Amino acid sequence: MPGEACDRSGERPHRPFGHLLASDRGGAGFGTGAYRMFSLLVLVGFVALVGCATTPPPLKGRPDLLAFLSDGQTTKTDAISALGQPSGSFESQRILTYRLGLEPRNNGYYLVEREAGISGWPTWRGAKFSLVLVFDDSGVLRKHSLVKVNE
Amino acid sequence: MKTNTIKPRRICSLCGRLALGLALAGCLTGCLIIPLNTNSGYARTNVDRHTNERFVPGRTTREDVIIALGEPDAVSRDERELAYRSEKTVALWLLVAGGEGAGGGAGGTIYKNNFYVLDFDAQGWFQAARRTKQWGMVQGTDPPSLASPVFKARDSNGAPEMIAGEPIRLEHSRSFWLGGVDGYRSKNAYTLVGRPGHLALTESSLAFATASQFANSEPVLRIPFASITDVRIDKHLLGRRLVVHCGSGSVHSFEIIKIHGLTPDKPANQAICDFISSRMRPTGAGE
Repeated sequence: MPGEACDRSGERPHRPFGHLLASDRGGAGFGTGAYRMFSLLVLVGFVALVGCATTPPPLKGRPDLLAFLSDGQTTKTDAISALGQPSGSFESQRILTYRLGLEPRNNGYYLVEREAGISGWPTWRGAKFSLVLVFDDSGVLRKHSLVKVNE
Repeated sequence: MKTNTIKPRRICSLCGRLALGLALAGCLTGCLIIPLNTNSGYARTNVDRHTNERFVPGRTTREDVIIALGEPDAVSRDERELAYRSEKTVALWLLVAGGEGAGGGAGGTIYKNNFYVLDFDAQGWFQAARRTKQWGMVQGTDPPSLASPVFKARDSNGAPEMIAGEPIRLEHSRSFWLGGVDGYRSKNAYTLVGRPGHLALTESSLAFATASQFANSEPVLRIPFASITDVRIDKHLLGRRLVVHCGSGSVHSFEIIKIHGLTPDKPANQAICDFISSRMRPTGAGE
């Protein structure tokens, strides 16, 4: 047998995890069945680990969310159509504010609702930016700013 | 040029530190305090004690402030006060219970809140700024409950708060609104949680403003008493719900909770129920 010839020359046949086999160590240990079982376990473990790799959640943000904003051109109706109802409104709706989160994977912005926390005060946990839109008396965007509110 | 400065309230500051010191001293045995100075993550981080230095009284407008700092955290009804809040985690505390049979402990967080309030005149010009602080020590990592409205008055012009031109007669600031829920009779009613907010009654209507609403906006719910056909209080174990039926077939429930507690405020429930009953009677009798 080739195996015997090798043994006689003092060389060990190379088998993965061969050191665990009883036949190779001349004592009690795993047999060939155990080797197969061990290989199976490794395979199952590998499959299980592959199963743990989750697909990333879908992107929340849109990099072009604010691209439509143009001072002197965008109207209040355009802004509300694109962004929905603002989270804040001041000076008889001349100033509108929106809360935005940032998706770092694509540098995209997404809208965040204003909500009160346990403290009774609004929390900025989900929102990083405040978008401020200032309109003139005819409802045309006069200026806007994107303020980083939270680190 | 007159520059505006927020004068630190040294006395309040000393009192706050003293209180904190006493709290720390009280739990010296078996209490571990880990000092920190980080943003809590719940509040904004773009304001600090130097923020007001960016604005010039009489020259800076409300628009300038909002453009610079973003959406405020609170606004008075007349928009003459804007409030911005920051929150720091100043320490973690760990209390190890000792003694015979003991083996547990507790831990939590100490927060410090800073409120920056900017005052404006009737034309929207910045006038002055002030800073107030509030400390909170809680178990766990949830933020503390912050009670103080930071404004001088609910309407900073000193007038009583109005809803649609009517003064508020009765109100409760710790209320929950469950729209479309018939007390405890609706399906899964026991497990439903309402929207937190402020319940207010005028001579002619019931109004509810959610906690996330700005004070300068209209309440999300307004029910004229004339449209109410039935009002009652539902009971379930320790729970109480004020139930309002309207002629249109809609139904609303409200949970009115003690300001400092978790249980229903029974006297307030009853007072509000009685108030609504007394105002709907003439219409109800006609129907």
